[in-house]
Amino acid sequence: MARIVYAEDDELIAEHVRETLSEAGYVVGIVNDGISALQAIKIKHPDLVILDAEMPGLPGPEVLRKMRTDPKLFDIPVLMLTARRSKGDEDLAKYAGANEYLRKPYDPDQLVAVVNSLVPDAPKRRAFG
Amino acid sequence: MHAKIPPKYWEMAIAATATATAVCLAGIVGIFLAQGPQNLTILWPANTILLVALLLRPRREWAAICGMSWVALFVLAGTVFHSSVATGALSAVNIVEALFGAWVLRRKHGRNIDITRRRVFADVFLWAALVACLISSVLAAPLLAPESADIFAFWLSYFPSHLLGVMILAPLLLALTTDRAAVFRRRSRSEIGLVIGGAALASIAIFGQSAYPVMFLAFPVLTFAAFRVGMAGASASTFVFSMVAIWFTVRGIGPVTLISDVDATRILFLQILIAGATLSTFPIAVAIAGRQRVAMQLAESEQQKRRILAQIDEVVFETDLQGRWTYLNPAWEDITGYSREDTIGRPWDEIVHPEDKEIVVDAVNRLITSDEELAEYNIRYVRSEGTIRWNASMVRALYDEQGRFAGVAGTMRDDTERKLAEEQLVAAREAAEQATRAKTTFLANMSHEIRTPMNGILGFSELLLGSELTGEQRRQVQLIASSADALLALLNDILDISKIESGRLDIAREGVDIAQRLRDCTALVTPMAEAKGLQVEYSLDPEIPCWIMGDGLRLRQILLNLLGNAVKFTESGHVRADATRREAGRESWLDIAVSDTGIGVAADRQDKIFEEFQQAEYDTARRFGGTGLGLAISRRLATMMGGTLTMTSEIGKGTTVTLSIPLTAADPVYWQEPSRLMPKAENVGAHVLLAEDLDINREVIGAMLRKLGCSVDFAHDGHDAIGAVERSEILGRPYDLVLMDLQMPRLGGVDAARAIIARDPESAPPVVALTANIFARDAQACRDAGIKDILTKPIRFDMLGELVQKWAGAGVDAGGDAASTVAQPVADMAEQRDAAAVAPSLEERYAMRKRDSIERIGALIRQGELGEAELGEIAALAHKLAGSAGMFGDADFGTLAGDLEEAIEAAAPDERLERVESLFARLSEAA
Repeated sequence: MARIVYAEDDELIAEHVRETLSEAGYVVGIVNDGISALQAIKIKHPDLVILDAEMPGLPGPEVLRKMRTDPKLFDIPVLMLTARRSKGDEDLAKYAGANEYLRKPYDPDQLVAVVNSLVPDAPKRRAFG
Repeated sequence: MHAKIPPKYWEMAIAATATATAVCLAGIVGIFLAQGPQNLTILWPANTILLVALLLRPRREWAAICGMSWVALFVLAGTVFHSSVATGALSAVNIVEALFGAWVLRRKHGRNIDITRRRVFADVFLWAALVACLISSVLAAPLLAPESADIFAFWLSYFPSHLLGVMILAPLLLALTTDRAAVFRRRSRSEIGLVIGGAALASIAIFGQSAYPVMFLAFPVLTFAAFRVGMAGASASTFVFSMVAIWFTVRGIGPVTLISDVDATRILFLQILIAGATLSTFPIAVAIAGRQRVAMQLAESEQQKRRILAQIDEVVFETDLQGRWTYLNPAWEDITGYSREDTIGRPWDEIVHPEDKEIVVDAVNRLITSDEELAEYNIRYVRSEGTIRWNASMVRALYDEQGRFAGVAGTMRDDTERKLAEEQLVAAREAAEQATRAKTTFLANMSHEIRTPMNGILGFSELLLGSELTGEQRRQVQLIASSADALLALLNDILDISKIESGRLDIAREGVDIAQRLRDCTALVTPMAEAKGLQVEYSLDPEIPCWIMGDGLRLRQILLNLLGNAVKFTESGHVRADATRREAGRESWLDIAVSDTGIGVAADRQDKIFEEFQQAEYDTARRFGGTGLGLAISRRLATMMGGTLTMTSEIGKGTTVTLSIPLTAADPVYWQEPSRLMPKAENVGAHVLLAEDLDINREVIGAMLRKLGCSVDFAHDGHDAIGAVERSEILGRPYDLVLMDLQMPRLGGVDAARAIIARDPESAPPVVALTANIFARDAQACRDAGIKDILTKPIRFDMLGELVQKWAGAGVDAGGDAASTVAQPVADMAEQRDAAAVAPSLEERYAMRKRDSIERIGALIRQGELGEAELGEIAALAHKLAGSAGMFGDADFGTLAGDLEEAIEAAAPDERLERVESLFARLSEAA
């Protein structure tokens, strides 16, 4: 089953996304800030990383930059979530090398579609089946 | 008036006059001994008197002495010779002779002319006698015998007489004047008198008759004198012998007259005889004196050794090959009580305590067989009156000339006092350790005894809080829970201090997820802070590695204490925790600064509050509560981690407490999913076995587990637990998790866990220990037994939930009681003791967020005067709503919230307020 690390400081959103993706057959580990995200990525080596652009400690683009310069992590696909109003975040996401980005608030189905496109080969199974 | 003459000139005058007088008298004797028409002198003593006088006096007096002596000789010679030139020259030659001898001897031997020394003796005979007389005779001959035919004859009469004068008189005079102590040492004067008298009588007997040529009999007599009374006897006897021989021979009596009728021949023979006697006697005397000198030095050093050995208070001993005492110094008698005379020759082991003999034998064997030079040992010995005491000994091996082991030598001192003191010290230390052990055991027991009832109180109040309660009941139950919490915190503090003080607190070194710790700790104090209207923030330096070496629990304890204090003593503003990396030389440090904007601490109290039971002000406890132990514990913990805890503070401005610990990166341990954020969607209850002997604990923990959606079986002790695991496998419904109390009757938790895991290490259910014992050794025992985790009593619902989630990987079902929490007023949410226990659905939580946010924004706007801080807060709330609303089917509301946020960020200041108000009106309408 495909594993996703999701970095998000808003618990409510985090849980919502987790539920959505769990139903779609992914295992989602949630971290609340950029530093934990980086460490979780290093340990778990997930199939996909979803980064919120705005986070305490280390913001999403910064996490992404570090990933892309790490020979062990640079090939993990990354989806970045940006705030609706900040156009700048999208540019940052692109420059930092995100594979995709989504604006908040996003439609859950759209999210699942994007995730599926980024993790094409992963077999879809129930998380705790 | 005449000038005062210094004493040294008087001395010089006296010395010169006395010498001149003596020289004059000796000259008269010499002339008196002259014979025949040529005035042939047998013996000329005057120059020897002058020689000895010069040797005795300092050099500055030599001119005066020689001058006066020359006058004396001139006057004396004037009675014999008629030419005044010849008289003056002859006197001068005599002076030169003595002066040369004195000069050479003074150069070679200084002022201490000891005639009994071989070199001095040889130099006197060589330089002062032979060479000096040769010089003077060669000078004098042409002066006194102008006719060349007479020169040899003259020389023959001059040289021997001068030579004999020095040979006979110089040793006698030098022996008498220079070192009388050496000459007469250990010889009684009467013996010397007897020997000299005997020599005189023998000489008279030999030379007083003219019938038998028995001159050779003089030799044994003189040799005997030399043997008996040394240099003094030899020189005196030789002198007496010479005088007697000359006296009789000059008068035509004695055996010499038998040899020839010619005077010159007689005189020459006599001179040769005297020279022979001198040469055979004095070397013996010198040799004997040398022997005596060595003997005396030996005796002196022997005495010195004896004095030293008698003075020291350690026994000095020697034994022979068989271990029998051959030497003991006087200290032996004090230390052992035995007399030395009785002990010498007896075996060494008679005084050694029988049990310690082996030690000595081993030590001596080591000396013989290894290349150790010194063996030391402490043994017991038995004194003469039977008391047993300790001694400390050192021994060396003794070897004979062939290098064979010949015995031992060594020292021995009484060591009883030190040994007793040492024994007392050991006893005292053991008593102290015993007391500490008792204290620690007591603490362990007490902690167990207190935690068990606490478990009941806390557990049931948590369960009660999760049930249907009226507002009043809920408040009361919360009070019970918080009272129990406070009591538990106090108990933990006191136990910590006790453990630190008894050195029982161990600091672990394990991988710690520092970001996680910091986040957890700030999250824990956030509800308390928000209730006071404080903001809690933290930051983490990206340079800090995610995993560091440290003691996670203790770090958490320190951070919670610092954050708790910060919140407690701050009325408005914020509380921050900032973790930074600091390089100091080659070391890296982790600095965690916890700062607040609170009441602050006066400079003179800043050190005090790190001491136990001290708070900043005397009324602090009354105003703010607390024991005053927290900071003391934190600082002690920081020190034990190799770090420091420091404070800067200003009254009224705030306080910053900084924890600094050495920073070492660690390998990641595991990634624990933040379970509280991930309640399982599926309602699959884990199958859990709870092994616990106490009814109340079984009931509380069982209720909690059931509430988590688990099915629970119970076991009453370790054996029960093993049986239950076996049964469950046979029934085909194995446990997902075993919770094991460590202290149970019959078979304890650690042993039971080991047995369960040993049955089948691969598929055995994870075992988690439950314990009130929080000592590090228990933790180690658990790890060794294969126990996965330890849950400390009292068991908290949230922790139990996390644990089940983590190890059983199974559903934590918030379940049926959720409804009751929805009914709670929103204000209570912040104080929710356990979110997981009453986790509302996501939609409900979103609804709450919406309601809370609208309420808060409304309050801020109604308050009027929107400053930067207020606008910032509204923007943040709006941002959160905008981000989440779309996902909960509330897109329009989200758009409105996003507009509100944008208005605050982007709108021109003059129209901002207006826009905010109108957007908020629409927003609350939409809600």
